[in-house]
Formats: sequence, C-alpha cells, structure tokens
Amino acid sequence: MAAPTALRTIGQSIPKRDAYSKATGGAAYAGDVRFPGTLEAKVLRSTHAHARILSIDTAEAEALPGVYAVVTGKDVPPTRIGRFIRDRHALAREKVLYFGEPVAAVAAVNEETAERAIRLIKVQYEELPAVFDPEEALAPGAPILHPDLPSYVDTGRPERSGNMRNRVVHEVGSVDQAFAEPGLIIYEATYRTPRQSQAFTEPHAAIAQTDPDGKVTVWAATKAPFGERQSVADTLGLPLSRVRLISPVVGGDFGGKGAAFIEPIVALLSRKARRPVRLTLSRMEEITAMTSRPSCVIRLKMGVRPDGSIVALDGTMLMNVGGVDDTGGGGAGAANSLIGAYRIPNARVVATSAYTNSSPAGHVRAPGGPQTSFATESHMDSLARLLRRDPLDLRLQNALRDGDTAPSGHGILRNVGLQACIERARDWMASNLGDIGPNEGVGVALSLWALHPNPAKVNSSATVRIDMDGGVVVLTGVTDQGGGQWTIVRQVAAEVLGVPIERVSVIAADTEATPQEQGTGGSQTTYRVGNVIRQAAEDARRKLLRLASERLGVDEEELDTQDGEVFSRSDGSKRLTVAEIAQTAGGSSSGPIIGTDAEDREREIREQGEERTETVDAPSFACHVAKLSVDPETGLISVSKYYTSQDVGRALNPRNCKGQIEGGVVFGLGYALSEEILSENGTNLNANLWEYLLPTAPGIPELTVELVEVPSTFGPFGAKGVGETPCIPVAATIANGVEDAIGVRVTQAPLTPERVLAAIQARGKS
Amino acid sequence: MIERATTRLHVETQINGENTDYLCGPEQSLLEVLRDVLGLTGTKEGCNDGNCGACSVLMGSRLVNACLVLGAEAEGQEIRTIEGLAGPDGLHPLQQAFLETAALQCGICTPGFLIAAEALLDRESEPSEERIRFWLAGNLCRCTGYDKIVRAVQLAAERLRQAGQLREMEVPT
Ligand code: FES
Ligand code: FES
Repeated sequence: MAAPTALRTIGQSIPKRDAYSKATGGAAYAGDVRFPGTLEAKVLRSTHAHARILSIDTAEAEALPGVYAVVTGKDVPPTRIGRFIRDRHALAREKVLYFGEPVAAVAAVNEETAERAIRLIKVQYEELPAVFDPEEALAPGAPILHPDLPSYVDTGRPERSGNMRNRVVHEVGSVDQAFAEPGLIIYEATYRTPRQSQAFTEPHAAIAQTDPDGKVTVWAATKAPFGERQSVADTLGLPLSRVRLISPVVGGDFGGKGAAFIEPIVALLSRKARRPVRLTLSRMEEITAMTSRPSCVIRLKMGVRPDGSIVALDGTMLMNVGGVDDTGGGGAGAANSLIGAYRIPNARVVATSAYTNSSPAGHVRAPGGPQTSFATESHMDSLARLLRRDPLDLRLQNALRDGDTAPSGHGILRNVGLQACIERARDWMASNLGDIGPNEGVGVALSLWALHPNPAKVNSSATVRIDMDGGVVVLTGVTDQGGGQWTIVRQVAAEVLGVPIERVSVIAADTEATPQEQGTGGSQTTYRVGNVIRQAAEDARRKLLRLASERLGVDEEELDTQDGEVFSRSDGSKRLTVAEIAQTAGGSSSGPIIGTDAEDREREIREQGEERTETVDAPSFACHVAKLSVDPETGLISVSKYYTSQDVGRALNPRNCKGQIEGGVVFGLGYALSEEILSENGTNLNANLWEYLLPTAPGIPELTVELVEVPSTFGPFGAKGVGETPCIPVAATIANGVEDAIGVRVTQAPLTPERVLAAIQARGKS
Repeated sequence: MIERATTRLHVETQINGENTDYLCGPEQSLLEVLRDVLGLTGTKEGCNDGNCGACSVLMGSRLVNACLVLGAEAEGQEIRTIEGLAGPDGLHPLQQAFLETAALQCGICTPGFLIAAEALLDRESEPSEERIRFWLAGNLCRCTGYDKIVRAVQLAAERLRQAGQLREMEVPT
C-alpha cells in the first residue's frame, strides 16, 4: 500500500462527480429512465389485513381499451422470494397477510387507464382473524400467518415457530448470579419505540424492458441489484443470465431499497405486455405497504454497584415485523446492541420478532440501533440519577476500552476512539453550552456501530482496468444512494494507482457489467468495498509496474507512481506516463492491464489470519450532546444546539463524512421528536408526508460535528463506517435532556408534545 | 382503436425562455407534463401531493409545486425549471454553492431546493438564516440534515450581492 504519509486524494474533500448532473437536473434516477412505448403500471392492493383469496376476476380489466397486461398471483410460481428470509411472493397467491399487500397489477397506456383497470378487477376474499399486537401474535391460539415457516429459506438458522419469526438469545457471564450480589442497586424500566419510515425523498421506482428473445432488464431504485436480480429471476422462472438489474442514481435508501417488491411486478408485466413497463410508488403506498423500522418494546434491568460499575444487564426485546419480513427486526445485531457501548460482564438479551398482520418491517438506517439505544442510554441516565453521578462520568467509567470483548462477542475491540469522543464532547460542553435557563436542559448519550465483516465471507469484488489513454475504470457492484460511495471508490483507486482523481471513473451496479456485490449498507461500504477496490487497484498497479520495468529497464521495486506517471525513484529521468504503458500493454505478453481483488484478498486473509477474524477493528463510536428546552404548558421540545464527536477511523473524505453525520443526526431527531407510523387494525393512518412528520429546515438546531480519527487496522487507509452511528443515540440524548430540563422521564419515543405533557401530568399526580 | 376520447387541451407557454406548446389532459398536472410530455425530468416527484417540494418550479415569479398545478394553467406563463437555472456562462451561483459546500447527497431534492432558493433570492438579497430556513420549510431533504443547504444559500446570496455591487460600480448613475 502507498505510504500513508504521502496520501494525495485520501483525506481530501473531493466533490462528488455526479453532483454536477444532480444540481442541473441531468441525473437520471430510475423514475427518469424513459423508452418509447412505455406502459404505466398500477398495483391492486389488499383491502384486508388477513384474508384468503377466493377468486380474482380480471376479465373486465383486460377488456378495457389501452390495457396491455394484467397479472395476479397465478402468474407467480410457488417459490418464495425475500432478502434475508424468503417469506413472500411478488403478488399474493392464496392469502393476504397485511393491508396493502400486492394482489394484482396492470400495465396500460397511461396511469389513468391503469388506475381504471385496477378498479375493474374483482377479488373475492374470505376474511380471516387478524392479529396486530406482537405479544398476542405469540400467544397460544393466535391466527398463524405462515404455517409453512419452518420450511422457508433463511440466511440464518434462527429459532422460529408459529408467528415467531425469530428469537435470538445473547448471553455472557452469569446474569442471575450477578443480580444476586448483595448491595447491588437494581433499576428496571420498559421502553417503547415507534415504527419509522425510511422516508427517502425518491419513492420506489422501476422500469422493465423485455427483449424479443425474453431477456428482461430492470432499472430500479435499489441498493442491492444482485439480490433483486435473484428475486426477479425466481419470480419469472428465468436463469440469472436472462435477467439484468441496473441501479442508476438512487434518491436515498436508508435501508429501504434492498428488497425486491416492485421489480418482479414490472418484470412480469413487461414480459406479458412485450413493452417497457414502469411503476413509481405513491407516498401512500410507501408508508402503507412498504417496509419500516419495526416497533419495539424493551424491558431492561441493570444492576450497578454503589461505586458506579455496572455488573449485570437483563433485557428482552419484542419487535413487530408485520406480515412479511425483510430482516427479522435486526436479529442478533439488535440483541447485542442493547448492551450499548459498555463493558458489562454479565448480560443477557432475548430478542424476539413476531409476525403480525401489520405492514412489513425492514431495514431502516442502523437496524436495531435507535431502539436499543433509546432504552440503554435512557437507562444509563436513570442510573446516574440514582447514584447522584454526572451522567457522562458514569458512562466513561463503564465505557468499552481497547482490548475489551465486543458486546457482540465477535472478537476483541481494537482502535477504540470512545474515550477521545467523550473528551472532545466535554471540551465542547465546557465552552459552548452557555447558560442553562429554566426548563432548559442538557442530554448526553453514547453510540456504537461495530463492524466485523469476516473478510473470508465478504461478498464484494472489484475490477480495475486501465484504458489505453491512461484513464482508470473501476467496476463495482456497489450503488450510490447519496452517501458518496462512488466518490470513495474513485479516491481509493486514484490513491493506490497514483493517478489524478479526475482520471478515475466508475462503472457500477449493473449485474451484467460489474462483479457481484452484496449491496450498499450497514456503514460497510467504505470499509468492505473500499478494501476490495484497494486490492484490485494494487493488482493493476503491480501489472503496470511490471510493464514499466520491462520498458525502462528498472527493477519493479525501484518504481513508484505519482500524478499519472511511473518513474524510477533513483533516476527521475526514467519515467513513463500511465498512458504510454497502457497503450502498448494490450499487445504485450501480459495483455491489457486489468486488476482484480482475488490475489491480495486471499493473501491478506492468509496473513492476517485469526487476528483479523477475532478482532473488531473498526468500531465506530460517538458521543452526542443536546441542549434543549421544554415548554411545560404544551410539552413541545425545542432543541437549540446539537453536538456530536464521532470516530470515523480515518476520514477519507472529511466533508462527505460530516455530511453523513449531520444527516444522520437529523434522521435521529425525526425518530426522537415526531416520526411514527400510526395504525389501526393494520391500516397505517398517516401514510402521507403531512401527517408523518419529518424534520424540516426551520426546526433543526445548530449542529456541530467533530471528527475523531483513530484508524482501523484493516479498513482501507484506516477508515471505519460512518453513516449509521450518528442516528442511533439521538432519541435517548433528547429524552435525557428532557429529564434534565424538567425532571420527567419519557420512556416512549418519539417524544411528541402529547407524551411529554402526559409525563408532566403523571408526575403532578404522583 | 381510439383508446380514450378525453379532450386534450392545447397549451402555449414559455419554458426556460423557449416558446413551447403541448397537448395535455384537463386533469394532468404540470409535473406530469414536464416529466412525461416534455421529457424534462430534472423536476422530481417525491409525493405528488404538495408536501415535499421536489417538484418546485417557477411560474412567473411565483414558486409553485408543479404537482399541484395543472398543465393547462401554464398557458401564457413563463415557467422556469431546474434545466433553465444555469446560464450560458455556466452554473448559477446557487448551483455553484451547492456543489462547493456539498449541500446535496442523493440529490433528488436538489432541483426543488435550488428553484425554491432562487425564488427567495429573486425577492430578497439579504435573507437571514431564519428567513432561509422558513422559506425552505416546504422542501424535504432526508439526507443532508439541511445545514449545508442553508449554508449554500447564504453563500450564494453573499456572492450575488457582491456581484450586484460590482455591477453598480460599473454603471455610474
Ligand atoms: S412532488 Fe410535488 S410537492 Fe412533492
Ligand atoms: S440530498 Fe437526498 S433528499 Fe436531499
């Protein structure tokens, strides 16, 4: 690897190349892709939360002039699809499991005709008893949503039965014994968190085209084109080679664009109609029938010694994952997140996800993070209050340190920047908080998102190619939903190859052109994908140097690259441009310069061996501080200042890092203050953007972001993940600030004025 | 086969300085006309009900959500969309500032913010931060947290003021 002292593009705030086209209206998102003769699709959705489909009559719809295709569950094979668990069909076959589940779809000349056709389809349902509460769903006698659950294909092997989608037990030490310690101060509470919509500004959109020979191409707003290709192929009964998925520019994802819901439907329609078919979901469909962060009830008990050391934690989590599920409520990840950023020798968490007839659950930014953090970080403040300790002090006393076992149990934590984050936050508080007036308060909380991708299991790959004019082309399956992934890809390749960043371009996220990739997300892209890009670029660099060495008559070890040239370190007159080398490479015995990650990846896995798999080397910690006031009359919270220090390992692109963190904090503020999908009998009531309340510009406090850099061992140039960490602890930070301001503890998020007021009134009574 | 017999309206208008005419249904929104009839896909759709601002365009000097305006209402109007923001000499100062301050991530909201901010700076040369924030309250951005967007608008306003002062100095009154 190039010596870190001489870095040229890493650590620079390189602007995103696609920003220009985005700012001029030229960037084509999936909804902007057009072909002549494109038909418009509409989906007929279930009007019941749980029902058997007795019959579907599409005759009238099909007869409507302008209608080209109608599809139903009959056009879908019995094979189920899904990202982590295959528990659904693109169109319901026998039963509907939630209100809004797709039942049929139409392609017609225009939206109006498609809409009319949809209304002409007659579905006969036999209503079944439904269950909406996860606790009731798990009780004996509850209607079972998925009788065949044990036979479903799942990426993990979770415990599952009845409506129990999965149960994860995470245990270290001996919890019961620890709680029996005499003199231990024990505190217990229950926390509730809401369903949150990803609420990306771009709704799901896809357009499918079928070639005369039956091959299907889908342009979709997705972060996981390879996974979605599988779902489309399974639905259409085609081999993977007959399906091509392309993810153009994506307008925000936040976890919600990785599962194929609409792509198989447009593909089916386009095959039947033999025309291009497109579909853009309405906001109502997005919030009614697409995935959201599962709601969660957490019971938490902690035992702390009078000296402040926490010795035991016992928690249960119950998540409502709706009628079909993408991710199992975050599964094991969610369970161990409940331990937070603390060294707790005895801990037990039982996390259960239950199917109900609610809308589906899925990934939302930092799956499992905000809900567990709301509980744990609220609890930490309550403990501090019991012990009459400064809340940040108590946290620091119990904070994870270098060499501790990660709460996930995945290995030893290294490169821990938590203490540094806390110190920076303290400094900031000392000089920036100002006077604290009546009804004003300060809240703090810690955050952790720990990466431990096992390099031997990483499903990412890259190819780096040098064109005849010296330009570098990176081929990667990774998508860019706004996080700047493609910019990082270019920066890493430019750095390794010693070429100016302008000479590096990316071909990405096209299943026919790029190597396989598991998908963008989990704050892993920079770390995981950055590494394979680095490895592929190093491979290309070796080939470049070998060719240069032959032509210059200089040993490879003597050669270096910089500014698009290869030169001898000892004799500067011996130099060739990358273009000069690349021009003749094609006709040389080694052929054109193409690098792949395979060789270095194998070698690194071999060399790093156990150290790598037994180390959590890129934990991303943060410390959050909020200054806020509460209006005791209305319960309204106003946040005036928000501070976060976050360890990003090494900021490959500082401005993008800060942008991610600011966006994450505001995402968290929505979860803390206003965002909540409300539903009644399975119907989501606020399925629009005027009742589902997102943060807007006027309500945003003054934001301060400080980057702490404790490099990771194995991440590219020391990078760690960035995007999830900032949204995790915001709700707890706010709840802690509220208690500091007015002395009431709110245990249910979001902290709406009604809830704050209710808590004030409850205190008045007691 | 004639697929439908709905009346189509012939609309004459000006879009980004060019005289344009089109046929549209009486219920078709200006957003649909721009994106689907005219192929101007720079104006985005985030909700189709007036709650996200992604479809912001200028109708004369009025800032509107194109999803809430009928295509027919554009008759005789001057429409400005994101495609018409940059001048022949390059990017508009707002676009320049958005790029420099990284005020966009996924960018789907960006055309709407730029048009909304342009409407503000057309009216006021020195809007306060609070004024900018409230003016942009109808535009949603899920990625950036708004801070960089507000900074970008401030930066552009500042540059426009300076450029205005220069022009005043050049033209003696
Ligand atoms: S699309 Fe017009 S306001 Fe959202
Ligand atoms: S940049 Fe993605 S919504 Fe604003």
